[in-house]
Amino acid sequence: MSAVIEAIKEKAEPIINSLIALIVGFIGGTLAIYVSGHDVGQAMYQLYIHSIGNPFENIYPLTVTLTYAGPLMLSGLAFALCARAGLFNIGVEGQIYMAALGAVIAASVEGLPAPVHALLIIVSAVAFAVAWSAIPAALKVFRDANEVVVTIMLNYIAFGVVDYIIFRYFPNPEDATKSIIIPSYARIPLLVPQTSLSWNIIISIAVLLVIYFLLWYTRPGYELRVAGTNPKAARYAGINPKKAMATSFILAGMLAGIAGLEKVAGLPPSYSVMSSLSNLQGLGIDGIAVSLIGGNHPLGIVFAAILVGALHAGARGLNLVGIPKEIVWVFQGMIVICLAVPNIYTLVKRKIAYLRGEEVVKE
Amino acid sequence: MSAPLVRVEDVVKVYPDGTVALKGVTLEVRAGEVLGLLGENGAGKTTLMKIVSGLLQPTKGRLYVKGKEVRFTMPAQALKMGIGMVHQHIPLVHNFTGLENILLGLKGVRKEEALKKLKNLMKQTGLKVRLDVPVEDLSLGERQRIEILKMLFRGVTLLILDEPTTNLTPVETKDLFRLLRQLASEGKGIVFISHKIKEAMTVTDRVVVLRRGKVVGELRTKETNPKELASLMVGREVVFTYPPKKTVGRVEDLLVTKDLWVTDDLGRQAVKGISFTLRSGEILGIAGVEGNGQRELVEALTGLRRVDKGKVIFKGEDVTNADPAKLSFKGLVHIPEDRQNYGLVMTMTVLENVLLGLHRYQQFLKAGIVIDWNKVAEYARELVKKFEIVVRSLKSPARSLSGGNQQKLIVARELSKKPSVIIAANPTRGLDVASTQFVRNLLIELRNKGIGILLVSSDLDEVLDLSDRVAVMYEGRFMALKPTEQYTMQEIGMLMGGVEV
Repeated sequence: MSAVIEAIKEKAEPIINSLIALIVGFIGGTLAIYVSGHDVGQAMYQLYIHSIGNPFENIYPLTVTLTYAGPLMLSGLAFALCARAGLFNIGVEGQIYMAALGAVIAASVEGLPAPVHALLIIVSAVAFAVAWSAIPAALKVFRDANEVVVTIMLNYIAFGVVDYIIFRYFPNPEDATKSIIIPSYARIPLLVPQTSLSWNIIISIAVLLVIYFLLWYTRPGYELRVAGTNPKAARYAGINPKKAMATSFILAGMLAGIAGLEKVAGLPPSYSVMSSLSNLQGLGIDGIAVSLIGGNHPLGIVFAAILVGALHAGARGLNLVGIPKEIVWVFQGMIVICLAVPNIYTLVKRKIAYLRGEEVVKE
Repeated sequence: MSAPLVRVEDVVKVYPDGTVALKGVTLEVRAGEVLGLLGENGAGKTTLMKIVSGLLQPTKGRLYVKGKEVRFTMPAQALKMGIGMVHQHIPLVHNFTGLENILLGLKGVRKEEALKKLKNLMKQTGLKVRLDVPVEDLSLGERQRIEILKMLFRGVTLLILDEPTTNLTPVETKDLFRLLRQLASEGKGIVFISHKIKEAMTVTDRVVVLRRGKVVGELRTKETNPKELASLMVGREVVFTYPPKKTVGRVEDLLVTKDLWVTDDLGRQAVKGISFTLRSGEILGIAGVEGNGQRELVEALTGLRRVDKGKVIFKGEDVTNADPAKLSFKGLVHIPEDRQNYGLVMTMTVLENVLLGLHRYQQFLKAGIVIDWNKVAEYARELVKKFEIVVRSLKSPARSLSGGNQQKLIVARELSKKPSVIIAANPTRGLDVASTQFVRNLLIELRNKGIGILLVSSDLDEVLDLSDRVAVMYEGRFMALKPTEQYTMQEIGMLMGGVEV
């Protein structure tokens, strides 16, 4: 019996970690609202009715939440996949910009039959993102460059390059604030009419399931996880950790590509890239939060993405009653900080043991 | 006579994992002497001196400094009482200069004054180091001298050195010995921790020999000899009984190495031209104090480290620098010394660990890529049953297993690959008596079935009990290689300590 409880405890540990972080994050966010002199009850109410509300009467708030959640699942998954291979990949943000560039460039091609053109847009978006992801992969594998530094810098470069090329060469002739528009036949169709919720969410969940299967039920996924958890054991078992790293970078690039495509081709009403890439910005970075909250696990990421999506959806409501919507970043930030100190419990335990004069081994 | 510099009384040390490192040790260090602390790996030498220098706390027992009882909770307190230890791996800040390292942690010391004082110290002691160069550009010998200088600068009266000659050239060693003698003549106490008999004979006044956490001999250096020290160091306790060895029918050469040269992580020659032949149905033991190139040899043979020069031939095929997967597929398996880092992925499940290294076997794959976890589980259950591995569930992480069961899991997995050669590195280290007996019996049974086993172990009893032939490794070379029964204990002890017989 106790064995069963032990086993449950082991499985539940990461989930409990995330739940504690969520609670602390919400307490912190609540405090921030209170300290800034706003009505906590009102804020919570607004967050709630604009993200969930009563779906049986009005499904709209929920569709907004899921609209945000779709691409977040993929950007979160892209981070998680690399984390599983032992990499801290901050570059999803830049890869999403590149995907958008790929989509826009392909969209500008004229004279193709509709299905071919649609396919070209998809392939081009993914290919651009993968190519951008191949840079840190190559630098890591061949020169052992630190992937954190490389990907952060590549994000800046991607922003400048994509913003320049799109608004220099592919501006929308009717509206200077956006790029040319993705043709209607290449758009991801709506799931719920009269809302912004498209098939994005279905695509994202399907991709998540595929990656889940890949990681836990296939040989390459197994090799990737072994190499990411313990490179020494990987070498002992004849697994090349560098190959696993490269694979995870390339797969992450593909996921970022699909995420970018969802944003550009699956989100009404713009179906384009907005100036300063404002409709893309932050998706990759929020993905890190989603992945961490979801325990770097595909199934956890589904819930984490919906949660973060709900926060974003609810934030719109805060503005309506004069509460700065930036409050939700406090929630998100607090949660991530709590998750970023996973060993805090062990540390505290050890410190107490030391003060009590109990055995502490140092080496 | 005045009180000794340091006296430890009935000190017992039990590590949190249950290892008993010291079983009631009493010992004194006097001013003006060089005391040699001699013993094999795991004898407790370093643990004892870490207690004296405040890095570890004793589980039981008392510590006196100049006649006064003390309790240290951190090295700084010991340093204040004049006790300093120079560790085997010297903890310096690599991009700081020698001077900066020496002053690190000292408050209110002016650089110029310190420099003047250090120059005086160097003149007095003849200790020469470059103080204005980043430590990373200095040789290991120079770094050690900086550490010694640091201790002297802080006014220690008892200087403890842990295996100080490991990284020194012969000339540096000679200089170090001269320095130690001089410091002793100035009234300081020196503790020289070593396993090298020759060096202990050269530099010490008195020798204390530790074995398995107990003092087994206390002698004046003048009144002893290398033979006596060797037998004290390696004296054996018989606890195990083994199945009888049987000779097998046809004997073939399984693993042949020719003039193997390998470098270690720091770029030094760790293996210097080793040649041997491992035959079917024999256990070839490699004895020696750890750090004499055994690890590098094993890694080179198993594809984890590059061979610089020489050849490895397995069943007639040249496998020099082949990768680990290829080797294990051909039937050469490795039971790694560091099971928690190499043999297992501790956070992954038992089930996932069973697949480690077997993950390319078609029997566990559907369509060559999808893992058939049901088949793996079936296989895992069989191993667990056959090897009596105590495991709560196949879904538990490997770290939840006891050390013995972790090792059984690795052994079970590797043996299930149907090997013809097993390379086992310290296969029973840290295991309880029952698990040790289990693994050793298994090795003999496998030998009787015609498998060739290379047993690399720093546990001399293990090597002597199991091996048909034994090689003694010292500083990257084989001091000797012959049938086990042709050695005397004394001879082995001397060879391990680098004394030619």
